[in-house]
This record gives sequence, C-alpha cells and structure tokens, in this order.
Amino acid sequence: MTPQRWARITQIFDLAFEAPATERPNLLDSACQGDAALRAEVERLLAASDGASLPSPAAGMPEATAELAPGETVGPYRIEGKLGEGGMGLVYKARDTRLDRSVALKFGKSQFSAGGQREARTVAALNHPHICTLHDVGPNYLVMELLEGPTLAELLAKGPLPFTEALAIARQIAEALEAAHERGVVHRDLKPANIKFTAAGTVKVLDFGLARLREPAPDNVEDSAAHSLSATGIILGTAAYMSPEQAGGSTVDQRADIWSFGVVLWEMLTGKRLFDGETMTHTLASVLREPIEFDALPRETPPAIRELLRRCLDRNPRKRLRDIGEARIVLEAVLAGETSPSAGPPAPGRRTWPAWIAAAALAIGLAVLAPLHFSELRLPAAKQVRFQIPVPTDTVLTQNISPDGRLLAFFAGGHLWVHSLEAGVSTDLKAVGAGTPFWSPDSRFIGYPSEGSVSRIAATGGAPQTVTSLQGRWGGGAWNRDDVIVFGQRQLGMFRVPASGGAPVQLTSLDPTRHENSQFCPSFLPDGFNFVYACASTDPANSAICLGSLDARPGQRTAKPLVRSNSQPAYVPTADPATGYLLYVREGTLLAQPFDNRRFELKGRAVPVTEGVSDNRAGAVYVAFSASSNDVLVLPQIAGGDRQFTWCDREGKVLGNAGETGPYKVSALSPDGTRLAVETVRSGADSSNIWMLDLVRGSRTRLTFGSLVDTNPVWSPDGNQIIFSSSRDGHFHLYQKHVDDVQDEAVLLKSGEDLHATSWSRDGRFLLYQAEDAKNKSDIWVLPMEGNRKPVPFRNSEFNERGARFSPDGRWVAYESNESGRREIYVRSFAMNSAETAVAAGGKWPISNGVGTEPHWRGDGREIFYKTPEGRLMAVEITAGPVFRAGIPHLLGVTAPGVWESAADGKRFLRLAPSSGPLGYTVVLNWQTGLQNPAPERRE
Amino acid sequence: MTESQGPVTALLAELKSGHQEALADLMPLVYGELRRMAQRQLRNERVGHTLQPTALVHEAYLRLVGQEHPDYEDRGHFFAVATKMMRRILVNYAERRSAGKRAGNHVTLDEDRFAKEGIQLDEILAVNQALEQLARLDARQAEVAEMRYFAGLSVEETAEALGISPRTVKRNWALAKGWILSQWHVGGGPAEPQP
Repeated sequence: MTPQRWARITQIFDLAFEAPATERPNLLDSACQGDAALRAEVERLLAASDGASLPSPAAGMPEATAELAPGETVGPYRIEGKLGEGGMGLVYKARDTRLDRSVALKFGKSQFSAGGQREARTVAALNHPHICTLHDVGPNYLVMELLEGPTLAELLAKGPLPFTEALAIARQIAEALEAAHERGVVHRDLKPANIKFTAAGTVKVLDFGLARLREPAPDNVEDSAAHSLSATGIILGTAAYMSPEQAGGSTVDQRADIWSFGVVLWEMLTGKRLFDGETMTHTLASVLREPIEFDALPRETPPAIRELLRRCLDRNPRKRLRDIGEARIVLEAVLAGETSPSAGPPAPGRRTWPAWIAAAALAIGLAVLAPLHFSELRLPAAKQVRFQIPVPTDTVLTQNISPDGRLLAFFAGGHLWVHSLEAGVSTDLKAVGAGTPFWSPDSRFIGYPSEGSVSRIAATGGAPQTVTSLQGRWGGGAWNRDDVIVFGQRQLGMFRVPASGGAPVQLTSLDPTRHENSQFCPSFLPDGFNFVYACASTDPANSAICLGSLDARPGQRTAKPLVRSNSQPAYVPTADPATGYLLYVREGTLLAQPFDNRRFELKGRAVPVTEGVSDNRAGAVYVAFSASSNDVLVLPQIAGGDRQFTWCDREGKVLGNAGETGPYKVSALSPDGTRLAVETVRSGADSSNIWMLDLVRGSRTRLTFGSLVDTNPVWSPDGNQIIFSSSRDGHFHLYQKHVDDVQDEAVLLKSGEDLHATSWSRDGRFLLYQAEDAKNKSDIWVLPMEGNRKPVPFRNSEFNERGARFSPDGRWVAYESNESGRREIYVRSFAMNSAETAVAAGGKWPISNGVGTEPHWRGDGREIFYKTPEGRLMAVEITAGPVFRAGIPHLLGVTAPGVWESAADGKRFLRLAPSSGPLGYTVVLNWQTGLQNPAPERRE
Repeated sequence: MTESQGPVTALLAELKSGHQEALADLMPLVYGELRRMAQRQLRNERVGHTLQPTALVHEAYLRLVGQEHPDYEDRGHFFAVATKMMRRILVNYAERRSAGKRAGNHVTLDEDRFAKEGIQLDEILAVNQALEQLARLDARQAEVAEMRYFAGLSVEETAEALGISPRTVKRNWALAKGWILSQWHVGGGPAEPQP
C-alpha cells in the first residue's frame, strides 16, 4: 500500500461514507472506474467501519474518583476536605465517626504490602509527644493525628531560624528519634517536610518508617524494569536529606536518621540546604562527595554544636554519632547553658559536656591542623550509585549520554530516542536513523547517522537538519565548542564538517601499513582541537587508539598510537584541568587511564572501572559505554550477556527453549529444523565462531576456528555443509565446510568487498550472497555452485539490496531493497540463462506494505514472513502457480527484536532474546570515585 | 495544584508563539500527571466510579492549566500532547501486562480486575499497531483516530485540537476505524460482527 493509493482510497471512501447506503454501489462503480481491487478495498473498509464502535479502551476501567469529595466515607472515616498531596499520595482531613475526633487520612499510591502494614503497626505503637500518632492502618491509607500547623519546610522557606528556636526544635526532633530508635523503628526519611508543628507550636515528627510503605510490592512496581531512584521513593526533595549509605543503595539503620538530623539542623542554622543540586543526580552526587564546609555555619555557632554536626555528618556510618540521645544531651546542655548564642565562647557549658565531646574536640584539633585531610576523608564513604533505566523492547545498544549527564540518546525501532534521567521518561524524537549518536557540548543537540547523511536534531525534538552526506559506514561523531563536528566513516577515515552543515573535509585515512580496516568513535580533548579515535586493524596487535587533530591530512600520521585497543575511546574530564581519563575497553573490561591533556599522552596506570563490558567486534562499531563530563557513565545492561533461543507459535505463545543459553549472534536453522548454526562470541568478546546447536539433543559443537569474526552461516540443502563469512583475512570472505569434519574449511569466494551468503538453492546449484563495498552499498549476487563458478549479479543497482532468499522451488527470490526510499521486501523471479552467465529478466512483486526486512519462506513456499521495524513478524500468503501472487501482509503475534528463524511448517518460530530481563542501560553515577587505584596525580 | 499550574500554562503559551522546544518540557509534566492519575484509578481500592480516558485528559487539563480563562488554542495543544501521552501510557501498560501474562507471571489483583472489566490488552496493542501503519499512509487520519481512541476525545474536541472541521473528523474516524478493524481481523483479532 502506497500513500498515493491510500489517498485514492480515502477520496472514494469519503464520498461513499457520506452518501446514503442505497447510492453507494453506483457511486463506487463510477469512482473506481473498473479497478476491482480498489473497489474491494474500499468496500472492505466501509464494511469494517459501518456500525462498528471502537470505544476508548479504558471505558470500563474501575475508578475510585481521583479525589474523595467531602461527605464520602472510607471505613468509619468521613471526609471533610483535602489537606494536600504528600509524598505518598493525597491527604484528607476526616472525622472518625466512632470516636468523634478529627484525623488525617493519608492515602498510599497502592495497596500496602503485608510487611509494610506490619511495620506501620509497629509505628502505631509509638506513643510520644513529639511523634505524630498513627491511629490506624487501612489497606491503602493511614489514619493519623491531625496537625494543623505548618511544616518545618514551610518555616525554613522564610530563612534561617533564630538560634535558640532552632536548637529547641532540634531537641524535640532528637527526642522523637530517640524514642523511636529505642523501639527499633528507623524513620528513613527525616526531612523538614516531615516535621510539623501543632497549633501550640510543639514539634511532631511524621511518617516514621513509612518510606518503606512507599516502596510498592514487587508485583505492583509500575516500571519493574526500572529500579529507578524515583521508584524507591527517592524524590528531589528527599535526596538532599538522605544519608550517603542510602544514596548508595545500602541498607540503613538508625545512623541514617542521625545523618538526616544533622542535615536538618544545619539547614535550620544556616537557612540553606547543606546539599543541593539543580537535579536529583547532582544532589545525590553532592550528598556522596561534596566536602562539607563547616565554616559556612553562622559565626556564633558554639563549638559544641559544630562538633555535634561534625559527628552527625560523618559520611562513614561507623564513625558517625552512634546514638541520637547524645545529640539530645548536647542540645539540652547548650540550651540550658546559653540563652543567647552571641554570649561569647561557650565555656560555661564545657564542664558539663560528656566525655566523648572532649575526646572529639581533640580529634577536631587534629583535623584543624590538617584541614586537607579532613575534607578528603570523604571518598571511601562516597559510593557509586547504579541504577537501570527502562527502554523500549526494540532498543539497540548504541547510546550516548549528554555531556551534562542528564539525557541519554539511543536508537529503538529505527528512531532516535532521548531518555531523561531525571524525569525517567523516554521520548521518541521520530528521527529515522541507526548508529551511535553524539552530543553538542551544551547538551542541546544530537548528531546522528540518518540514511545517507549525518543529521542533527534538538534534544527536545523538532525537525532534523542534514549536516552533510554520509557515503561510508557510520563511525561515530564528536562535536566541539566551536561547532565543528568530527565524524568517522569506518572504512574511509575521519572527517570534519561545520555543525551548521557543509561539505566534509577528510582528516585521516586508513593506514595500509598497519592493515587498518576501520576508524571510528572520535572524542574531543578539552582543547577542542585534538581528538582521540579508534584505529582497528585486522592484526589485533596493530589495533590502537590514536590521536588526531582538526588540521590533520589524510595519509599523514602525526602521532604514534596511544594505546593498544580496538574499542571506542572516550576522553572524560576530571577535577584536575590538566588531567583527564581516557576510557577504553580491553578484553571486556572498561579501563580508565589518566591522560595528560597538555602533553597529549597517557600517564599512570589503567584502572579497571567495570568488567563484563562487551568489547568491540573487529571492525564493527559496537559502542559499549558512554560517559558524561560530570561523572556519569552509561553501560548496556546485557553487554556480552548470554542469550536464549525460544520457540513460539504464530500467536507468539512460547513453546519452549531451544538449546542452552550462550553469547549468540547470527543464526541459521538447518533444512530439517533440528540443528542451528549460530555465530557465538568467544570469551574475550572481540571474535566469534560458528557453533552448531543440536535442538533435539541440546548439545553444542564448535564448527569454525577463525581467529576473528566468523558469521552469517548458511546451510547446504542436505544439511551436511555450511557456508559462512570470516574476517580472518581482512575482508569478509566466504568459506565452506562440512559440519562433521573439523579439518575441512576451504575458501569459497574472495573479493575486495565484504561477502555474506544468504541462501543456498534447494537443488544445490546456486548460492545467493550479498557484497558490501566500503561505502556500505550492498548488492545481491549469484554464485553457481557447479560448472564455472563465476559470480553473476542478481540485483546490482544504486540501491541497497540484502537478505535474498530462494523460494523452496528455486523459482523466486525474496529480498530487501531500499529502492523506494525505505527498506521493503520484494520478490523477483529467478532463472539463469543456459550458459549461466546472467540472470534472465523477470517480474518483480512488492511484498511488504511498509518497511520490512529479513524475508523468510515457509517450507512449501506458500508464505513469506518478514520483520517490521518494530520487531514484529508479518506473514504474506503466496500463490505461485503459473502467476505469482502475494496476499495482504498481516501481523503475527510474534515479536522478535533480534535474530529469528521460521520452521519449515510455518507454525513455529525461533527467536533469540537475552536470557535474563529486557535490554536496557545501567547508569553509574560517581564512577570516578569508585576507581580502585586513584592515579597518583589525583592524590594531591 | 497551584505549583504546577504555572509551568504548563506558560509552556502552552510558548507553544502557541511557536517555541516547539516547549513541547519537550510539557510532555513529562503531562505524562507524569496522567500516569499518576491512571495509576491511582488502576490501583485504588475503592471501586464504583468509572473514569474514561476522556475524563482523565480533561481532569489533567483542569489540574495543570485551570479553567478560569479557557483558551481554546491552548486546550487544543494540551489535548494533542495529552493524547500522545495517554497512548503511551495505555500501550506501555498493555505491553507490560501481556508480556507478563505470556511469561506466565501470576495475575495480580489489579490485572484480574482489569480483565474482568473487559479491557482488551490485545485490542490496545492491535490499535496501536494499526495506527502506526496508518500514520505512514495518512498522518492526519492516524491523529484523528489516536485522539478518538486513546484519549476518548469527542468529535468536536478532536476537530478543535487539530484545527479541522468536525465533518472531516467524522470521515477520518470512520475510515481509520475501518482500517483498524480490518487490519485487526487480518491480524487474528476477533472479527467484527457485520451489521
């Protein structure tokens, strides 16, 4: 279906739709002008539409009105009005009709878990003048003492509190915490918003232990894939008061409350938040590592209070004040000994101080002597924070985090998406492309490879703009502050182009003396002039990260390679302006090595950042990681992870697993459907071989032994041999071997292009393969397997043709072409002339009604299956008598984001999917603080 | 409510003056509000009222923009954004639930109720799929259907939001419905009874 034809259908449909039913036949007759297919289509649409209703999906959704109205009752409680919306949910003023008293009803967002309810009942048992009483616990609501005064947050909004008042409030908070801690209840979420005042001005601490109620039971997790920070109840306002161990995701005890108490006391005294950041990410980073400037406390703050704050705000919980009761004692002492904070040095109180303060004062003396040490005492307690972000199912793992660490750009379903780390929301920018995107230095624009061009788009969406044309294979990009873009074309080299658009200027070319086969992933150094990039070679010893510059010329290598690696490099800044880190992957481990960005050389040792990061395949850009300028690192969640083949039926119902799990990539199902030849990544992950999975017995045998990448297997019709591609000799050449003979592995075909076999005719006489040149243009060829064995072009056009497959009777070839401007499936007849020197001309039939890839034939040739960009499988009925006819494509229930196979009967499909969980990304905050061996120059 | 009233109104004004960037700021706000509301209705213990997407979208509008001086252009922009967000919410929900079912996860209370109330997860997914295809043939028809189906907007509201006549909305909706139902039928969904 083309938009033109659809427009015609629309025109006729509209006419018929508005005409009385009796007039429709005549009207259709004249409008369709004898085009029976057109008429049938319009009639089908009219019939489907007529009288049918398609109500909005949620029409019957059960709904408790979003809000309760006054007068409604919940159990024995009659609603009197809404008080506001808290961290948990809505809060109402209500009347307890049994006891005739006013209460506050606080609704949760979901049912409380059994554990949560139990905990709430423990809290309900707390009876203390400074703890807000919890009267009752409903299935999803709490009944609490009604407090009509302001919160501490509201008071603090007006600025710092008078010194004595601040201490008096702090004392009451400490008393409340002390009473709770004695009963084993930890607050977990102490913050000014949870501290309220009664009408009489007494302090009441709210929501003890209720942070836990906010964690939904596992079944209820809205984004179960997302152990996102917000899902665990951490919101912007809370992050600032959270203890470092909470921010690091560790379990907490009462010492977490003591930290939060310190943060609240600090804010009361200074009127400013101790830890603040424009985003949650920044706030958490600040909690974890920002040095605390005790000098920022008001000058009149007595040493006892300063010392108390130091003890509360120790990032190491083991060194922190152990008992909130001690804080109460100090506060009482200071309040008793001093009515005015400006009454000079607090000598009067000193003699009453507990012994620990004297000891601590001594420690402070030491700290004053060595202030640097104190402020750095820090890092061991600052932890990395890791969390996963959810992504659409058809996400590919190339991604890039923005320099400011807030947005992640990635591709899913052929579109560019942006995920906001703060909002937790992914947005489809509707920009078509595929490959690793890159960011402008201000994080506002994204550059990306689109079909045949390098494009840019605002991170907020809008119309894409073409920067320049892209002839070769995409090799990543980088954008400097002067709006110059450097981008790679893998088999050509590095190019520069103004970000505003223009013609590309070549900077580097592949070095034949080093047998380079690919250059990719430029990353600018801070000067915005020099950059690092990867130069991969067919000889792994020559694969290196190189230094390039904007005035480089092709053919001249200005600097020697920096370090051996065939992965993407990335330069990231550190706190020290003269030194950054060069990040690169070697053997599955992400390494960070200090880089002197004035001398342009590595120094110090490479330190492992994280393991299990997939390395790059030889010559292929597979971006494993990306890093922002502010200590945020993003890794693919299942890089190098094992995958599992599963069988499913046409409706998508899972029938069972096929074979054991493994690091599989491309597969081919044997003609009898019992064995699977599959590219399997070798551990170390920069090379792969073909293995054979016996789907009946479940065993696994290695078939090929190339040292680089062996891929794209194709079975012989008798199932005794395979043909595959291997890059062991530079380009991908075709090899042939018997599946039960380890020795026999022979070159079938070599050329200056990358060759990949796609189909072997059932009579064994012909092989279809695709040849891809350096500019990524792909054509389809036929190799006669008998006789002269001279390749003959099948489709050799200016467009890209791929994935050709013979029909079972060998008379037709289904393939994919972008001749219409997008990838669609076609069928052509196949016949060789008698001399086998050319393919005879024949008809062509469109198969897909939209974007389609990877055609597969059913065993009897009666159906073609293909995949949509969304990863769904479509089926098209084929009638191939004397005349070839294709039906209308319809959707199967099968979703296959990755590799898939169809069984000969067309009833079962094999899909490859990660064996655990969905694809996704792991975000690591503060990765630099977690490095095992800080580089020497970072010590000072 | 008062705290979120400002930004959305301001963003709508920016949109109106042609600042498409405002859309990116607007979407998370609308999405967040709709999702919160939808979650509440899916999870709340109390049953008895029926809230349709149309009600959700309107309530979100009232909550985020207010109604003192309704600006119809603003409302149109808002509905357009809210429709996309509502679609995403419903499709995400349906995908997750049907994935969960396929994986043999036990059915929770919510899902059970969802099923009893006759919400067709498959229908949501099939309509979503059909509209994706329709959008490639005629984007406007797909938009009309999206508003009518996913946001439950009336013919008049859809016309207002898209700046077209109600008559065009009716025609486009009829055709889109025909497309969806015939696609769905082909795709293995239940056949629509012929009148």
